[in-house]
Formats: sequence, C-alpha cells, structure tokens
Amino acid sequence: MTVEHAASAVAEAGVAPRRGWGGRVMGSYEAAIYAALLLVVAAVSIATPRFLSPDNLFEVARNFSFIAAAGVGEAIVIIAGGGGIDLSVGSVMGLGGVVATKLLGMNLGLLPAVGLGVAAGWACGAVNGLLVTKAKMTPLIPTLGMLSIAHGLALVITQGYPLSSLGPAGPAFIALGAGYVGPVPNPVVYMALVVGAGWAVLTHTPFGYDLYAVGGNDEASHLSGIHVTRVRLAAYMISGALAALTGILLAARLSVGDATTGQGEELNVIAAAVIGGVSLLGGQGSVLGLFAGAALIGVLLNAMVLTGVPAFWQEVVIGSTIIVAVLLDRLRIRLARD
Amino acid sequence: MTAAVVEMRAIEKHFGAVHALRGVDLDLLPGEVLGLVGDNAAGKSTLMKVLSGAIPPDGGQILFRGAPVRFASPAEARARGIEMVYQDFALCNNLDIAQNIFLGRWPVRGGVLVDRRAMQRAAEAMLERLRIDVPSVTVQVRHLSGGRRQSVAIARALSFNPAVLILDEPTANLSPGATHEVLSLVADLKQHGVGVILISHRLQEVFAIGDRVAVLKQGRHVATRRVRDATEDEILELIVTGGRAAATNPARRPDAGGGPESPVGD
Repeated sequence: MTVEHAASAVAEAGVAPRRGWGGRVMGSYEAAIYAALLLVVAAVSIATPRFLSPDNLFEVARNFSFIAAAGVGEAIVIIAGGGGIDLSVGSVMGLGGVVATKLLGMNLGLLPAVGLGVAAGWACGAVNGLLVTKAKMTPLIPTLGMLSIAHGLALVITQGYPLSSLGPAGPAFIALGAGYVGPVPNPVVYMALVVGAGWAVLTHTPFGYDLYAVGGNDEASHLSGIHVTRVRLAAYMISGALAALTGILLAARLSVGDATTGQGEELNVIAAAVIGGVSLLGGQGSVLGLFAGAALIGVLLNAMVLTGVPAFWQEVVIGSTIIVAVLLDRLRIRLARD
Repeated sequence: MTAAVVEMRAIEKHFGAVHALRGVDLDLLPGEVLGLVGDNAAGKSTLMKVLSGAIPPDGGQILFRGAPVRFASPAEARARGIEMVYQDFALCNNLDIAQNIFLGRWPVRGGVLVDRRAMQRAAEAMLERLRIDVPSVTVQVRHLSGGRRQSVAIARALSFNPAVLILDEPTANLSPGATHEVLSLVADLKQHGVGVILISHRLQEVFAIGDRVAVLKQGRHVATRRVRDATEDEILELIVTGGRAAATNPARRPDAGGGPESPVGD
C-alpha cells in the first residue's frame, strides 16, 4: 500500500519535474498564494477602480515594501527550524532608525550612520541567536525579551522625542527614503533588491541549502557535518541586521527617528511569512512566497483604506489573517503526512 | 588470509552504573558482510557507535588497517572511511533525493553557488551504480516508501566511498518487499569492496546475505561463526544463553546483578 502510494506520488512528481527556479516557484503552495493574490487584486479593483491607478499601486508597494524586506530575515529564521521565530523585528526596526538618525544628528556621515544602525540590529540578532543556540532557550522567549529591550534602548536614545535634526547628511538621508528610481519609489527598489538577494541566497548558495537542511532535520544535518548552531545563529543575525536596515529606510521615508516606528510591525512581518507558506515547523517556504504574503497584506490594508473600513478594524483583519494562515499551515502539514 | 580492515580489541564502555561493553573484540574483513546479533541490551548499537566515533570508548583499542586509531567524532571516523546509517534513516524529508545524498557537501561552482545540475547528475550516477530505482532525484524524500528511503540513506553513506559501512537495523520498519530490496542492495556492496556490519535481530536476514555472524550478550562478545558452518538454531542459542562464552572465557564471568559501577580489575 505505502509503496503504491509512494509510487503514485513519485509518478505525479515525475510528470512535472522541478526544474530550476521556475519549477520551485510553481511547486505548490507558492502558486496558490500568487493565485490568491491575483484574486484579491481583481476583487479590490472591481470594488474600487482607483486601486489600479499607478500612483496607488506604487503607494501600496511602498507600504508593504518594509514588511517584505524585514520579512526576508524573519523567513530565514523560521525556515532554520527548531521553533525559530523573531518577535523583535518591529522594535529592532525602530532601534535601527533611531541609532542612525541620532548619529546623523551628531554630524556623522550617511554611510557610517547607516552602518552603525545596521550593526545595532545585527547585535540584537546575535544576542537572540546566542540565547537560542547556546543557552538553548525557546526562541519565543529571548526574542520577546529583545522586543522590549530594543524598544527600551530606542526610548533611552531619543528620550521619548522624535529625532528630526539630522545634521549635514540629513538631506541625503531623507532622499534615500523619499526618492525615486524612474517612477519607482526607493523603498520599492530596496525591497526588490532584498527579496532578490534573499531568493538567490536561499535557493543557490550552500548557506541556503544548509538552512533548509537544518530546518528539515537538525540531527541528520549535524551528522552530515553541517554546523547547525552556526547556521541558526547566522539566521538571527541576518534577521536583526535586515530589520534595522529596513527601519533605517523607514526613518528616512518619514524624515524622523522615532522609537515607536516599527512598533507592532512584527505581526505583519510574521503574518507575511506564514501566509506566504513559510511553515512555523521549519524547512519549508520561500522568499517569493513571503513576498506574495507581504503583497497580500499590503493590498488588504490598502483596500480597507480605499473602501472606508475604519482603521480600528484593520488590526482585527490582520490578526485574523495570521490565525487563518497558521491553520492552513497545520492543515498542509497534516495533508503532507498522510 | 586477508588482513582485517577493522579490529576492535577489548572495548569497554560504561554509562553510569551500566557496564554496557565488557571487553568486546570484533574484526571485519574487507568486502564481507558481518552480521551483529544479540538481544536488546547486548550492546550492538553501543559497540557500533564507538566504531563510528559517535561515542568514545572507556577502554580498549581500535585498529584500522592494522594501525591504532582514535575517533573523537563521526567526522573523524568518516575521514578514515567508516560510515554508519542510523536506524531512523536520518534524512531531511523536506529535501529531494539528490540533496539528501549530498547533505552538507553541496557541490559548489564558482566558489559561491551550489551546482544543482552537477549534484543531480552525480546522484543519478550513484543510484544507477547501486541499481536503486527512483523516477527522479528531484523527488522529495517524504514521498518515498520506507525501502526507498533506506536505500537513499545507504546511498548517501556510500557516497563517502567508505571502506566500512555500518547498518543499524536497516529493515526494522520495512515491508517484506522493501526488506528484500534493501538486502539485495547490501549484498551487492561486496562487489564494491565495502565491508558491511549489519546489526539485525532477524537471523534469516543475516543468514541470507551474511558471511560471518558475531553474537553479543550483555556487553560481551560470545562467539563469531561462519554463516555457512552454523545453523540459525545454534546462533539463537548463543543469543539466549550466551552459550560457550562462560566456558571458554572464565575470566570474564558476567557480574551478578547491576550493582554500582564495579572497578574493572583486569
């Protein structure tokens, strides 16, 4: 029986052998999430034709670009398995923006200020990763602690006031967030670069292969000579650094460093990953799926604004979307086991 | 007579109060299949974990091709050509067959990119050489039957070109058809000059493909027999009673009861 079952599964897979990235994208869940995205876009554009105007589309893309970019790091942490999750990305976004704007205000150049802001996020990720891999803590706990610590540090730096004097490099910094490449807003370009790089790393480099192996079976990976703790530590470092860089871009877009920037964003980021097919059990999911998940959230949020849904309901919708996505994840796991 | 590829001499191992291995001797000839049998607490898996570097012995010596060796990790044993396939397959279900065979040793092109095509071609060649039949090496392992999964696990071990392959109960959870598939794969390994140690509790298997059979009981090596000179009943009696061990080796009587760790005085 099991042999026959496996044979038929193999035969199905044999009909459409996965070839290169195209096959990987259209594999299964990713195709479904892109189809869902198209459906929602179609429905929204019928309800409010204004949705499809180029201006609005770029606005939508700019809004979810921050979710998608930070989501790449989140996805890497979740794929690495072991119950991996990073709850601190929202606060680290705020901290990154605050560190960079504070340093700009102290007349530091653009590159050093951005670099040190990213380094602050990387350090948060390193602490998360060490607590998870060396102290063997359940990832929820250290990253929940870091959510509070990073936010607290940002408040200590700003003393609760927005940082708006950005020194001589200020105009260049603001242009980073507000500028365009052709018709495309800079944050969208940034997102495209991060998503493209994340996709390339996960699907084409030894680190990406290690990541999926560790997420799939850490014991087997260890026996095969993969440094499991090193891979997971790197995942948290990437998540922290990317969250901070994204927060810096967000601060540039808002022309101000504020400790509350990014607050609660971890929910959107985790939702984007899970909706995009990144399984909370690890080893499953892709950056392109995450991108579709982020786009779906962006479109839903925009649709609610365009159709006049009161802002208070938006959080209810996002929260419900996460729960539905996790339920779908469980369902997929159960189906895969049968 | 051919020189042994591996000789284990007087291997000792304690786990707290439990004296798991009590001076075990074992040797493996190149290209032979050695069955390792015994009841549940006999120490078969422990002995093989010592050989594969997964756990360090407390005493005794391992000779590899006549030279003394000491393995601090599975990687060191692997570097010498000793591979172990664990009972639970140790595969990544979320990865495809080729990725599982090259787990952690991804072929890299240009220093940074994994060469997926080269990996798949090498995996295909490997499976073909071993006559393991899969429709495509890009099928995720989760979709394979138990027998195929075990075959993939063995293929991965063989991709290290080992001189010694240790299989821990390779057919424990397999259907009769899949068992046959795996056993014929193991029997074929002789042609590749690989020495196989087959841990098993199914004597028929050992008699079907084994050259010799070694019996352990309560951490002692009781006897080694040529399969063609022995009967299943004889081996079964050795497993159950420990048979002649006590008679031929009076210096090493089993300790009565499992008292606190007793000093080993010899």
